[in-house]
Amino acid sequence: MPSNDFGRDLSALAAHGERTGHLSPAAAIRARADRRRRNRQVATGALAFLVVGGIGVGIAVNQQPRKAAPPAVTPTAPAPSVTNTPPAPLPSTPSSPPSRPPSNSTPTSTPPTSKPTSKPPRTVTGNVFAGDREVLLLPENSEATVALDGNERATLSDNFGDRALFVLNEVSGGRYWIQTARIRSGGEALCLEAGETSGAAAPVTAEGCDAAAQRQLWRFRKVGETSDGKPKYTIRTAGDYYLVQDPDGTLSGGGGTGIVAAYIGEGTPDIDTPFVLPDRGEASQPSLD
Amino acid sequence: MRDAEEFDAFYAGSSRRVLGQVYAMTGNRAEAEDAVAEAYLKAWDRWGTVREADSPEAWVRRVASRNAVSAWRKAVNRVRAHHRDAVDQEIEGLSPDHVALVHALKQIPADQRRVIVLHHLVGLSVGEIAEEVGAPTGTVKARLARGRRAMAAHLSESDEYMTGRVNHDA
Repeated sequence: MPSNDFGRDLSALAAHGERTGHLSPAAAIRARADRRRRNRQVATGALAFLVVGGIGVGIAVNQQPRKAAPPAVTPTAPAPSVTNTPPAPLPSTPSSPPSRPPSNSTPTSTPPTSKPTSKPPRTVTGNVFAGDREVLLLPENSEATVALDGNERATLSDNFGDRALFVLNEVSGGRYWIQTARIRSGGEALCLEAGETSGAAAPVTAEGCDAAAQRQLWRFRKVGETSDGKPKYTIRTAGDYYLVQDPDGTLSGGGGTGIVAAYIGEGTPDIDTPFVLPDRGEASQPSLD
Repeated sequence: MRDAEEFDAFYAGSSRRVLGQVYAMTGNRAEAEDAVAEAYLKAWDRWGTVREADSPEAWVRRVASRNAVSAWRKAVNRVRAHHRDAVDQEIEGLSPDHVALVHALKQIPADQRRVIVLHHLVGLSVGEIAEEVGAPTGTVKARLARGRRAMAAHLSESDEYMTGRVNHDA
């Protein structure tokens, strides 16, 4: 080493980091913090609602003993499934914005058939839509999978590690958060979000989860099966932005990360990407309920 | 609105510098970026308090350092196997001397790395470091001495780099 100054070498190293590092604009930092704060408030409010509701139910049960059957805690909670239950067909436009934290219900409208419980037991074989399974988002016929890079952007990656694992958590009416299974920011999971754009394709990034953010709410539609019988799905937001692989950067106009949210409407070329959702085991993320 | 403008000015004036310092502590750009972004996010979350701190920049650096150390420990525990690949990607664009420095920094404990960077890069005195890291001055001195010794050993293994060079007084 030609230099004889340790401090100077460290300075050069730091300068390299300053030059080459990427930082979001200040406004983006503030927006993320604000979203996270709102999300905390939503979660806290929901928790308070559940606690108060639970006390109310308890009092009601005590006052009316021996009714025919106890009421279901969540009327939409289905019986646990033992297979990868595909989501119901896309419903029409949602009637109301999401206002509650994610439940562990599966994306099906089947009413409960067994005795109601506040939380379905964990399935053995795994229902990837139950909110308690780690899954990959694997484009059909692709050797790469969706993963986050160091800047929390969705990319196509051949590293199937922690950054490629997600949990599908239903927020409401067949709309799901795609949450990071292992990656945390401030102790909280992040949610995939289609970026804002006026063009045909937007970047997809991981942001603080916000039940009111429509661009974080994804719908899954089963579009068939792979040659080996695994269900495959298209994934889109309410605004018809589909999660699409773009390995050559064609849709993003070059310089993309391999994954974009692309608008597909009437007359749009058939560019949608079916995804397989391999189950990678039980999620370890803390439950919100 | 005035808060936002004030925060934005603070961010614009300090974030790159803090990023460089945390990068020197971690040797990993992605980890440094994550840790710094998270620290500024928290700073905005409690801007009313942070703006009144003696040094808001020191507050952010302290939080970012903790984030980075936490991320570092997790990374060591979880992905030791592919960490080497990440390092190799990370050090693109660095001179061989600085690559050796990054590797040597990565060989020593995070606490020692932190005080070395705060002393030799940020230019803090032992007393100031003690205040920033929340440790007694004796502990800071010991970490500095051990860190330098360990780095010298690691660097001399691969190069003549540190021979007789790191005997600065705290």
